[in-house]
Amino acid sequence: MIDDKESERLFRQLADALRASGMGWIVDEVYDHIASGKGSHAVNVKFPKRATRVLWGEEEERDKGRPGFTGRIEFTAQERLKLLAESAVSVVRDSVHIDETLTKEFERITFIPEVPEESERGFTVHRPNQTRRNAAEGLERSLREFIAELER
Amino acid sequence: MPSPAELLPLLIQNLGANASLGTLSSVAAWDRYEAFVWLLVIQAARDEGAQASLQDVNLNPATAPILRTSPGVISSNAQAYTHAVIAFPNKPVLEAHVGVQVAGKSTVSHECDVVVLDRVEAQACRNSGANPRYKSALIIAECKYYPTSNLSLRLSREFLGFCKEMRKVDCFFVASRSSDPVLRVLSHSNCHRQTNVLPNAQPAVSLIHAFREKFNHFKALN
Repeated sequence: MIDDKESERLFRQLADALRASGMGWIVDEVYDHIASGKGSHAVNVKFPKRATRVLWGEEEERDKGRPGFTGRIEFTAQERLKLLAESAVSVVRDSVHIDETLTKEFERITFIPEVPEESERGFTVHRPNQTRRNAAEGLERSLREFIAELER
Repeated sequence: MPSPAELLPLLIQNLGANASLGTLSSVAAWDRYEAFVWLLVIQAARDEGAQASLQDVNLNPATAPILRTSPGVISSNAQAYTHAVIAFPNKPVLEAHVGVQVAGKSTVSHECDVVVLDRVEAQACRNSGANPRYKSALIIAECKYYPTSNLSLRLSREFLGFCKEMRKVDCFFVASRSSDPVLRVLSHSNCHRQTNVLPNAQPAVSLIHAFREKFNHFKALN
C-alpha cells in the first residue's frame, strides 16, 4: 500500500486534472465530504468530578461519562484518494446511464437557459454512441486497476 | 504490476483528455438528473393508466423536449420549453414541468425541480404571466445529484423549509446518493424521501411506486 505522502501527491495530481477538464466541482464535493468525515462514533466524555453544570437527567451517568456526544471518523489519505477517483468515475458512469435512459424515451433533449447571457450552460443530450460507451468503460477499467493497486 | 503512480496518468488521460465522455459540468449533471426524475413521473403516470404527451409553451406537440437549465416561469416563451401533458380518462388533466416557479403559502415563489400541476391552473398562469399556486401541485420533486454519498445536512434543512411553504404531502426529496444524517432528519419529520435514485436501480422503481400512489390518490379523489 502506498504511504500517506504519496497518496496526497496523487490526490493533488488527480484533482488538478479534474479541474483542468472542467470537473472541479467534483473535487469540491469530495472536499466537503472529507471535511464532514467518514462517519461519526459515540464518544464517552468525562467531566471533572467537581463540575457543577449537570444537565437534567444526567446525574446517574456523571461518573461514567455523559451520553450523547459524537466524534468524527477521519478518512485516511488512501481513502481520500479512492473517494476522489470513485466520485469522478461515478459522474461519468451516471451521465451515460441517465442519457441512455432519457434517449430511450426521447430522440434527444435540449437544455437551454431562459436568460440569453447564460447560453454557455446549454447542451443537448443524445443517445450515447459506442465511442462514448467505450470511453466510459475504459475509464472504469483504469479506475478499478488503480484502486486495486491502492489497496495492495 | 504498475504502481498507482504509473496508473494515474492513464486514468487522467481517460478522464480529462477524452471529449467523447460528454458534457460533465455540475449544471449539466443536475439538469440531466432533473430530466431523469421528470421521466420517472411520466412513467408512473403511464403505469397508472394515463396518456402522456409532450407540448411546448404554445401548446404545440413536441417530440424532442426542450428544458430549462435554470428556474423559470411557466409562461416564458423565451424558448419553446416543453412539458408533459398527463391525461387520465375522465379526470382533470395534469402537466409535468421541469424547473418552474410555484408560489408557496407565503405567496413567495420557489423553484420546483419537477412539478405536476393542474392543467387548468397552468394554462391560466401561462395566459396571465402568473406563477401557479402550491395548491395546484400534485407532486413536487426536489432533485439532488451528488457524486459522493455525503449529502450536506443543509439539503435536509432546506427541504423541511420548502415542505412548510408547499404541502408536505406533495413534496419528494430525491437524491442520487444516500446519507444517514439527511435521511434521519427527513424520516424524523415524516417526509417523502428516496435516495440512490439512478437508472436501473431499485430505488428508482420505488420512487415510481411512490409517484403512482400520488396519481392513484388523485384519481380516487377526482
